[in-house]
Amino acid sequence: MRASILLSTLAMALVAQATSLTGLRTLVLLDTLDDADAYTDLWSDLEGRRFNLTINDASTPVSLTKYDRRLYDHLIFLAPKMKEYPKGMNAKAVVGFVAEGGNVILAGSSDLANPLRELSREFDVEYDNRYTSVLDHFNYDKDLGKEKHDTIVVSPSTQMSKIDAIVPQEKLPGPILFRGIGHSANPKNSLLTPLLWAPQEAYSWESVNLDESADQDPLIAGKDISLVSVMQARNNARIAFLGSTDMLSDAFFNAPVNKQGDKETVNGNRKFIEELTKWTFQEKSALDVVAVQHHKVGEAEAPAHYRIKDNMTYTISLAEYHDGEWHPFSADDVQLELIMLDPYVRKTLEQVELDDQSTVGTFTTTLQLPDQYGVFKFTVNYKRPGLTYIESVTTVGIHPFRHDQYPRFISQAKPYYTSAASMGVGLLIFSVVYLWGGLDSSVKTTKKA
Amino acid sequence: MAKLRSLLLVTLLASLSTVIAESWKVQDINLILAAPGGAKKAEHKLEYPYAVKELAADPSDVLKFSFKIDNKEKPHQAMVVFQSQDEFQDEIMVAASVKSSGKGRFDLNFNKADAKFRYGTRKYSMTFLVGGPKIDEPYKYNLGHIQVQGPTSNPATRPARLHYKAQPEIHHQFRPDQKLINTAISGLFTILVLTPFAALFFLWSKLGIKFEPLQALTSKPFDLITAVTFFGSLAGIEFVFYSYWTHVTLFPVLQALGVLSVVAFISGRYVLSAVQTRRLQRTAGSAKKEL
Repeated sequence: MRASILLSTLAMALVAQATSLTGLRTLVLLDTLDDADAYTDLWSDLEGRRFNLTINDASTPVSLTKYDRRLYDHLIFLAPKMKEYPKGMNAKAVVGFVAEGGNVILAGSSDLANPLRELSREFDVEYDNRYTSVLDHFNYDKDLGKEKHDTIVVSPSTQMSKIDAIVPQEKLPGPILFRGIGHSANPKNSLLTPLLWAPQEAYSWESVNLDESADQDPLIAGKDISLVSVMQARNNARIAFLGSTDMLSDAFFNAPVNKQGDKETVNGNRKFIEELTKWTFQEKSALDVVAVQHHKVGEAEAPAHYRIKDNMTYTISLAEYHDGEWHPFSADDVQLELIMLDPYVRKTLEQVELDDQSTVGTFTTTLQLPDQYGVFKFTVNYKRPGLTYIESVTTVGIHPFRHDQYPRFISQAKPYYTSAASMGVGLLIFSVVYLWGGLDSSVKTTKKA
Repeated sequence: MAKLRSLLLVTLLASLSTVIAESWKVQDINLILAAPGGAKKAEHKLEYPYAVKELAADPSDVLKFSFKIDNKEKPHQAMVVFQSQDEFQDEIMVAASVKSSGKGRFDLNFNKADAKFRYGTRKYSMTFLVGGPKIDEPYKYNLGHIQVQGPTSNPATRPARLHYKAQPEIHHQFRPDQKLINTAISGLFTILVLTPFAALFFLWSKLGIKFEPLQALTSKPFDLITAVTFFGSLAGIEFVFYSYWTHVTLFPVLQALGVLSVVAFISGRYVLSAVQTRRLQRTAGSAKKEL
């Protein structure tokens, strides 16, 4: 068992050379190759984290898989106006790419055309109609949004979800600038989480011609407008949906925030995009089960099967990946369940104290197996917002008592034990009395006839 | 440093320009709550910053809101946002249509409005927002609060995501041990089981046992050895049975019994022949007596 832990830590050390767990091959799709000049800061940030960027425009044929293997590990769509997929790609191919573990960033804009809108529908994200923008007359930036009030200033303390695993709020130096299209994430989909949403006074409306007033209830307004949503699929592939390609551009990274009615501050776009891409490309908040051990108390190896009411020790080791390395994972709510169709036992695992040499976080517990026999699953089902889904299942059989494992002697059966023993003792006493008791050697007076 | 100073100048100029620029002039704000028949339940003529406090609406009521905008530009946004005052803070934005004269209104029937009004009976804050691209400073007026009853039949349910978190612990209830009778009863019956011994010893004492041959044994070494061997083999057989009962399996027991039974048989013959000689001596003695 120790050998397997050593081998897996060695394997992890080898992988730690790469920053992203999925891989480094990134395909970027732009509307035209000239657009690449607008995102130079983004390219330098990504290349600084060792990603291989392949920047294509929508007319270049490209293939996502070859011989059933992914050719790329990450996909960035910065081509909202794309009317057709590049040759060799279609919506089904992109969904298959995600099913194979690839991560996707999809950025739209007010000019979002049909292919990407329908691709987002596959993930339960519904972008608003073409040529609509998120407008806000109360939270707009006076420099970039002077004309149409469409560049809005979003405050991370109130309009960002508080999931530290994705974008920790304390790392952002300022509010986020956004100019683009809003979308709504299906509120019933548990895999999809809105990350950034619009302020209360914002609404999504057709923005080409603002002379006509908005005289009908907007389809989405306020909190319902999601600006950035993220999804973690069941195979732990991550997809991020943004409504604005501008929020990734150099112009927005370097623009000061001049909100109507506030002082000028720096914006947090660059840091937000850095944390978002780190999360989406599996560079952080990725968990892994390193080892699972279970054995009877007092033994070292897992037995072939258990017996009901045995005392068992269960240990699971989890590691978390961030900053290019695997670190021990710490939590206080990892639970073990013993399930046979229904959970019979659910117990919170305690974490073993970490020291300087720890590479994994070890969680352990000792419990007594239930007195129901059958085939049980020891499961650790750990799903928390922003972290990869951990589902560790170990199947064991629990046998009933063997015929000779019941209590051997019962104190209530003393009469029976005594009667059986008394037979043996009586035999010995009788043989002594009969053989040497003198009943047959004493002279007897015979009766007078 | 120079950049900072120029930034400050720009900000100063910008702030001055907002003072000079226009702002929205909104007047004649009327809020009417009407019952389905048209009867007015409440009517308020609102003036900034007065906020309506007590307003209660049934689902079938209609909220009529009207105002007049005196600017020459038409606003793009003239909407009232309702925010529920519970932990969910749902927002519903209702738009008013503004005519070219500047008059704007909307009628809000809570039954036909957004499904969020039908999640239950809740209190909402109403905020009137006016804004447009041509005027920098928008207009915001907190109109007050309104309590909207939830529908009595088929309320809408709020869609919810699954929230994974630590679940309550389950402790297995073990089957209780088999109930057994009181040990005192078994103790009593143990004593009852032993009572025949008492009767046996009593009767034997009546017979007058003196253990006379036992004393005689010490003088005859051969008889002593056979007696000890016989008794020992009997006790050994008892011990083998006991160990078979507790922990030994069959085959060692059979081996031990085979040895011990041969020993018992042989030594038993000698012991019994000694008994027989004693018996014959007794009958010979009594016959002598009779003679």
